[in-house]
Amino acid sequence: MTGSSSGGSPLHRAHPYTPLALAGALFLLAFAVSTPRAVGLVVVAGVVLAAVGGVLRHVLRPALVLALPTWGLLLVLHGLLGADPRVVVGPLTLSEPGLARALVLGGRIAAILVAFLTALATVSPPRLVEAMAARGAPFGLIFLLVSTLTLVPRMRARAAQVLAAQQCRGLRIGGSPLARLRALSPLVLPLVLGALAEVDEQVLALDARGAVIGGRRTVLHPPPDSALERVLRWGLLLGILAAYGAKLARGGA
Amino acid sequence: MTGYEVRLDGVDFAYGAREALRDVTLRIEAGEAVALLGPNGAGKTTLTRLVIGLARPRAGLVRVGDWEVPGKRPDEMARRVGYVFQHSDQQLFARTVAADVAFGPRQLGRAADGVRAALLELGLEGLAAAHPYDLPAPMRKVVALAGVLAMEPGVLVLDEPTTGLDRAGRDRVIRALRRRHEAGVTVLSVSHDLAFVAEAAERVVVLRDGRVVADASARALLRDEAALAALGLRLPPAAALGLALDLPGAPIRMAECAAVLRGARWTAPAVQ
Repeated sequence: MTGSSSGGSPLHRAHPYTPLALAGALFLLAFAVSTPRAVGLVVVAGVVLAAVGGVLRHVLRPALVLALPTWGLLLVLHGLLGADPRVVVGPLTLSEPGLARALVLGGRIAAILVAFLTALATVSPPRLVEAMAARGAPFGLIFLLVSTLTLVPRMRARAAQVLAAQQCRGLRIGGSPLARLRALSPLVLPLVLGALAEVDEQVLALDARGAVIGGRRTVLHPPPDSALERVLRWGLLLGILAAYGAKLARGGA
Repeated sequence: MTGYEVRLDGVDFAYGAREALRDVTLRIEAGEAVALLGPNGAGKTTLTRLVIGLARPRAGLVRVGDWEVPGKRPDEMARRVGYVFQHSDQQLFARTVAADVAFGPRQLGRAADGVRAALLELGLEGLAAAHPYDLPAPMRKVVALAGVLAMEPGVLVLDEPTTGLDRAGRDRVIRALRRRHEAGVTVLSVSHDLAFVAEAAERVVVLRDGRVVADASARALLRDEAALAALGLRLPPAAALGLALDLPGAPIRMAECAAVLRGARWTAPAVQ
């Protein structure tokens, strides 16, 4: 899974709200459209966004790993078991409306994954903290959001450390299913216990620094937010509202 | 216990495009106690990871005794090399300290005799039934060290073993390492704690930007104020005291200074 990557792309340099707004807009747009072609365009927009952010390779692999099992399930559920008429695709005879449905649902999943993995890879958590604190966001909300954003890369790094440490104590990873099962507890328990201990220490440290007292904080270096970016974010909001308005006008299909 | 020679010949290693070690050649004799010094990012931890087989050199040879490390998995290397990680407090998982310390010997199919000895040696006997996560992080690190000592490896590799320890804990670690060294175990430790290095190492190798820039006896290097200053380090307290008082015998350990000041006949071993 991905985490924030370093880079100098326009998305990395932008105010942290901008990549998040773009990802959110793609997410909502994927549900505002309902034809395979339109959903496909949203997916392409997501891929272009990842390319602009310079994180295409960083994003595509985990997106595919996460999406492929669901795509397979959708193909079976809607494509193979869907209603007539049927259409021949290579060696398969598939339900035509079912295939369209599977493409729409699968496309939405892909668009959501690419959009949010791109946001995750281009938004730096410390900059997001600064941006949110500068806008007067409550500390609890900031902590929750940033902890979630940084959880996966932190756990991944810790898992690699634990794996290496247990191998150096003679733990063999692999072999029979039983041996693999036995190897789980020395790997999973330190990961979970360590994470809990870390959270405990973090909360105490934050308490000690008066983080939960409340009140607006003074941010020394808030990320710059240009007029152009603000216009873009408002434009995205209006665009999404228009898309949903059009959908309602069509009958909400 | 049989110590093993550790040998690196012309080793290069890189993390992607960033070179971490460049043409490193180093030979540590079986039974020798060596400390690796150097600024952060110099390649010290990378070098130790090569020795246990957690990293593969891009070029060059890494050997422990007659084993070529790149051909071995870390769990195979554990039969010869005991590795104490910098954050080894994060590897504990068993319900009791004693069970965690026994994990390594059990994995290697070795007798559990060493477990009790390691617990006693590091002052953990009273905590044998405690849950490891009820202990503070520095003590968990001592538990991790006990787990490695109980495996009775021929080579001990330690990454910052004294970080966060109080004086009593630090002294216990030093005594345990000295005992292993006297028993013929090869000891390689990475540390920024020069007082620990003075107590636990007989030879110091300095890395900078992935290269070996100095290789000398601990007694010579730890009294060389200019060389240490160039590394951003200061003389260890005993060496500073010895130099300030112009004590004979080039002491670098507090016990040596005390012996000289008491007027005991103490002479330093010849500088190699």
